[in-house]
Amino acid sequence: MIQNPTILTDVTKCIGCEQCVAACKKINHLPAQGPPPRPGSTPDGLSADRWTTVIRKPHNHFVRKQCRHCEQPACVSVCPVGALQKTPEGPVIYDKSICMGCRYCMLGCPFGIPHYEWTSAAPSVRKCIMCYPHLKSGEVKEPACVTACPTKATLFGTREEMLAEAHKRLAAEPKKYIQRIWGEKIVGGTSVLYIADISLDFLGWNDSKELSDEPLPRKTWAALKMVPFEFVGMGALMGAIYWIIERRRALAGQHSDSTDAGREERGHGK
Amino acid sequence: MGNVTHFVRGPLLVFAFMVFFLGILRQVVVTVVELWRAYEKAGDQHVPVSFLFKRSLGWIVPVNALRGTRTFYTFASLLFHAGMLLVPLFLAGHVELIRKGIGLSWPTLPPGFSDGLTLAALLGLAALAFLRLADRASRTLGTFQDWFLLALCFIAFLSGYWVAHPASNPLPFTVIYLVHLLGAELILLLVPFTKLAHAALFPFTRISWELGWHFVPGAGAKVRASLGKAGEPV
Amino acid sequence: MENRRIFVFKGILWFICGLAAAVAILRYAFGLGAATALSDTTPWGLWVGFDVMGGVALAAGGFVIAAIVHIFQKERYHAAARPAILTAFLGYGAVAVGLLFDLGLPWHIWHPIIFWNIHSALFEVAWCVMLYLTVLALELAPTILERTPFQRAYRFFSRLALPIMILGIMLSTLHQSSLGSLLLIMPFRVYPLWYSHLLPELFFVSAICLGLSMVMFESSITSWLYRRKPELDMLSGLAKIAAWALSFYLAFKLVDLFAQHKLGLMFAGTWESKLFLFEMLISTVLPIILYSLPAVRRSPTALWLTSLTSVLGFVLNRIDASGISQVWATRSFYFPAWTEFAISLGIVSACGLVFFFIQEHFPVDPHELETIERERATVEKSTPRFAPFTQVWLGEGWRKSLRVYSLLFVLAMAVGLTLAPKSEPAVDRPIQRARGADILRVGDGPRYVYFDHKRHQDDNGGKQSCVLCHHLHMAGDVGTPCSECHRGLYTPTNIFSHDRHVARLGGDASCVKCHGKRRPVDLAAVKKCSGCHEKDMMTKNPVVKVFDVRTACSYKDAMHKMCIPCHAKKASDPKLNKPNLGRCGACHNSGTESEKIYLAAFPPQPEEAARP
Repeated sequence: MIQNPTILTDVTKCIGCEQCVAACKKINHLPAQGPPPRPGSTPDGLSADRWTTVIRKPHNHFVRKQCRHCEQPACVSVCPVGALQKTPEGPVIYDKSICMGCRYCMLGCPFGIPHYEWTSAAPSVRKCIMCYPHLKSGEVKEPACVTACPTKATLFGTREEMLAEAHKRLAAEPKKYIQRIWGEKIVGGTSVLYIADISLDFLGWNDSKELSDEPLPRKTWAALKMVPFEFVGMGALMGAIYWIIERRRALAGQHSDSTDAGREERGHGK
Repeated sequence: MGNVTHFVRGPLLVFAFMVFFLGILRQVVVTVVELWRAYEKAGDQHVPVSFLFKRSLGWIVPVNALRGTRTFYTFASLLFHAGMLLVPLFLAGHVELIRKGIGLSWPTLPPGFSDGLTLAALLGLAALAFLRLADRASRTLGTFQDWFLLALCFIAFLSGYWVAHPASNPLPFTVIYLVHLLGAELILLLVPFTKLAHAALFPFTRISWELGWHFVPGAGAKVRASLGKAGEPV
Repeated sequence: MENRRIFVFKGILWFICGLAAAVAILRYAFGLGAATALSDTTPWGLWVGFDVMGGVALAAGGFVIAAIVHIFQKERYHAAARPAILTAFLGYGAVAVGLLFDLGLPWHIWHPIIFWNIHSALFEVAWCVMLYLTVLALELAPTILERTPFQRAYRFFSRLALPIMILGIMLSTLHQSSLGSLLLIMPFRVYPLWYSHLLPELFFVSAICLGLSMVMFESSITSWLYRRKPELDMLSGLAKIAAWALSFYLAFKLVDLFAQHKLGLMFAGTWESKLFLFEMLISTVLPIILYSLPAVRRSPTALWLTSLTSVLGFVLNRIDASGISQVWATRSFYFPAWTEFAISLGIVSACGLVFFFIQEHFPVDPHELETIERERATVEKSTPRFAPFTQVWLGEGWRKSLRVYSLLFVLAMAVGLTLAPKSEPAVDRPIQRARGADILRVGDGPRYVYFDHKRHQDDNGGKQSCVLCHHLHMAGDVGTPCSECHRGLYTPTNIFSHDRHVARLGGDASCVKCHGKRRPVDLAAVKKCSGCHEKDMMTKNPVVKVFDVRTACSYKDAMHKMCIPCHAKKASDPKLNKPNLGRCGACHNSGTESEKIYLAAFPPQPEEAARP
C-alpha cells in the first residue's frame, strides 16, 4: 500500500452519475436502501449507509462529498477512547469494539462527515475509510469509487502526485479553474483534494468561514496541555490557604471546631 | 366517531394492557413483600405448604367441588371461568388482531366452539347473578363492586357476541364495537385494583388466609397490656 | 403518615420516574433514534446539554462549599456542607446514569479507563468525573457511617477529610473547565457570542457562581418541604459571596467579548443575540442586583426565587453553548422529544428520591433526622390491615405511602409505554433524488418523501415500465413529479368511510357484501374498491400537474444510467483500447438539437464565467 494515499477530485469532470456511490456501497456491503433521514436534519446525501455522495449544484456542477481524511483529523483528536484512528499510511479508520458512542467526533468534524446508525440498538459511527482494509490487503489498488468513475473525475495516488497533478491542471487551464486546491492547506491539509470551477467552501460547516490552515486539534491541546499545572497549582493554592488560615487561628489562640477533620485531628493529638 | 374508535382501539387499548400487566406485577411484588413481613410477625411460623398447594390447586380443578354442597353454583362459576379464560385469548379474531399488532400468534378455537363458550359464559353469569340474589347471605354481603363486575363481564361478552355476529345485532355496528372494546378495556384496567386481582393473586390469598389464623384475635390489646400501656393507641 | 408536602412531592417524583422507566425500555430496545429527536446534524441534544453539561455544573456546589467550609474555614456555612456534598454526589451519579442513556454503546462506558487519548477533552472529563465520583463517595462516607456500628471506619474517613476535600477541589477545577474545552475544537459550530478561547476559564467561573446559587436553592427548598426554619444567616452570607462571584463572571465575560471584538454582536438583533442577552440577564445581571439588595437577602422566598433564576440561567448557558448556538452553523432543527425530557426529569427525580432517603436515614442534618425518626416511630406501630377484597396483608399504616408511590410509578409507566413512539416515525419519509437514492426532496422546502424505486418498478411491470416515468419528459427537465400519478398526494384525506358504506349497503347485514363469509375476516378476503367503483377510480392521467414536486429522474438521467455502466466497462477494456468511450464527448456532440434545448434551459451564468 502506498504511503499517504490521496484522492483528487476534479469537479469540472464529474457528470454526477453516482457510479462511485454504487461502487462504495458494494465494496463496503452497505444496504441499498437505508432508513429515511432523521426529521429536522439537513441531509446532504451522506448517511450511515452512504459514505460518499454527489451534491448537485446549479448549472450542472457535481461535487462528490466524502471523508476528507485530514492530515491532523479533529475526529481522531476528540475521540476519548481512540476508536477513530489515523493509520500510519493515512486513511482515518474506525473501530466499533472500542467506541463508546459519545458522538463527539460528529461534532468535532468540520465537514460533517461521520454519520450515526440512529435506528440501531447497538449503533456505530459510519464514514468513508478510503477502502483501507482492501488497500492494505492488496485486494484493490485504488478505492472502489476511483475505479468506478467513468470520466476519471476522481484520481488516486500519493499526496505529492495528486498535488502535482492538481497544480498542472490549474496551470494548464487557468481560465477554467479557480486557482485553489481545496484541501491543500485547510485545517492542516486533507487527503482528499478538490479542484473546481465553483467555490467548494460549502463543504465545511458555515461555508468554511471559521476554518483556517491551523489544525483544529491544536485549539483543544492549547487548553489541555495546561491541565497538569492547573491540577497541581490548585492543590498547592488550597493547601497554602488552609495552612495560612489555620496558622492565623493558632496565633490568635482561637481553635475552631468547624471541620470534622480539624476536630478529629485535635482529638487524636490529645 | 372515527376518531373515538381510533383512540379506543389504539392508545387506550395499549394503555389498558399496560396497566393490566404492570399493575398485576406491582400487586404480586407488593403482596410478596408484605406477606413476608406478616410472616415474620406471625407467632406461629409454621406454614402448611402441601395443604396450601392442594387447596389452591383444588380451586383450579373444581371436579371435587362439583360433587360438593353447592353444585349448581360451582357449575355456573365453571362455565363463566372457562369462557373468561378461553375466549379472550383464543378467539380467532382476537388472535388475528394480536398478530397484526405485535406479530405473535398461536392456535385458535374453532369459531363454533368459541361461540358456544361465549353463550355458556353468558349463561353462567346470569346464573351467578341469580344465585347472588337467591341466597340470603350473598344478597346481604354483596357490594356494589360484586354487581358492577358481574354486569361488566356480561356486557363485554354480549357485545362481543354481537360484534362477531353482526346479523343478530340490534344496534349500529360501531356502537356495539365501541361498547365491546370499552368493556374489555375496563375489565383489564380494573383487574389489578379490584377482586378480579384473584386472577393473579389466588395463591397468595391462600397463604394470607392461612397466616391470618396465626394472629390471635385481640392480640394487639394483649401486647399493650403486657407492656403496661393499656388503652394507648398503637 | 408522612408530612403532606413531602408525600405529594415524592409522589410526583415517583410518577416521573415511572415515565422515565417506560422510555428507558424504549431506548434500549430500539436505540437512540426511537427515543430522541437527535440527528446527524445535531448529535448532542438535551441529554448532553442538560444531564451532562448542566448536571456537572449543577453539582459544583459540592466543591465550592467544601472550599468555603474546609479551606477558608467559614464556620457559619457548616450546615450547608453535608447537603452540598450529598447533592454533588447525586449530581455526578446522575451524569453517569445520563451517559448510560446517551452513549450509543453504554456497555463501553468504562473504556476510557483502558483506552487512552490524552488529546481529547472528553477523555479528561471522563477521568475527572470517575475520580471525583470516588472522592465524593469518600467525602460522603462519614455522613453514612456516623450512626452505624462501623465507628473505626467512620473515624478513618473523618481523618481523611481534609486531603480528600483538597483533591476534590483540584479535580473539580479540571473538569469544570474541561467541559468548556470540549467546545474549543468547534469554532465552526458554536456561535461567536459563546465561542471563546477562554471557554474553559469561563466555564470554571460560571460553575462557581452556579454552585453557590444551587446550594441556596436546595437549602431553601428542603427547609420548605420539611417545614423547617430556613437558615437565613447562612443564606444571606452565601448570597453576598454569590453577588461578588457573579460580578466577576460578568466582568470576565464582557472583557473577553471586548477583546475578541464581539461586543457589537450582542446587539445585532439576531435571535442568537437575543438569546444571549436573555441568558446573561437571568443568569448574571438580575441575580447580581437582587443578591446585593439587603431586603432580598433577608427574605427566604426572594433568595429562593433569585437563586432559581440564576440556576436556570446557567443551565441555559450550558444548553446554549453545547446545542442551541450551533443551529447557526448546521441550519437544522432540533427540539427534544418528550421522551428525552422524560429521561432527563426522571434522572433528576430519582436523585431527589435518593436525596430524601439519605436525608431521612442518615445524619445529613442530625437535628432534622431526629424529628423524622420520631415521626416514623409513631406511625410504624399502627395496626396491620388487610385489603377488603383480596384479603391480602397491607402492612402497617406508614407503608401506605409506599403503595401510593408504587401505584403512581406503575401508572406512569403504563402511560409512557402507551405514548412511546413506535420504532419509526410514520410521517414525512423524504426523498432527495430518484437516481439510486431513495429519498426525494419535495420542492425546495424541508419536505421529503420515501421513494421505493424497486416497488415502483415491480408494480408497474418490471424493466419494461421505465418509460412510464422516465420518458415523460425530455432533456433539460429535472424530473417527473410524483403527482403525475399520485394525484391525491400530500392531501390528508381518508377517502374510505366505513360508516357510509354500511349505511348505503343496508346496515350490519350487508357486511358480507364486501367482506365475504370467510372467518376470521382479513384483508385478503375483502373486495377491492375498484371492484365496485371501476369508473370512479382514476388510475392515470399524465397531463395534470398538481404540485411542483420533483421526484423521478428525467430522461437525461435515465439515459445516463443506462449508457454509462457499459461505456465505462468498454473504456477500461485494454483490448478495445478506446479510453475516450467513457467521456461525455463519446455521445455528446456540440451543436445538436438536444444541446440547444439544454442550453435554453440552463444558460451559462456570466458571473460564473468571469470568475478568475
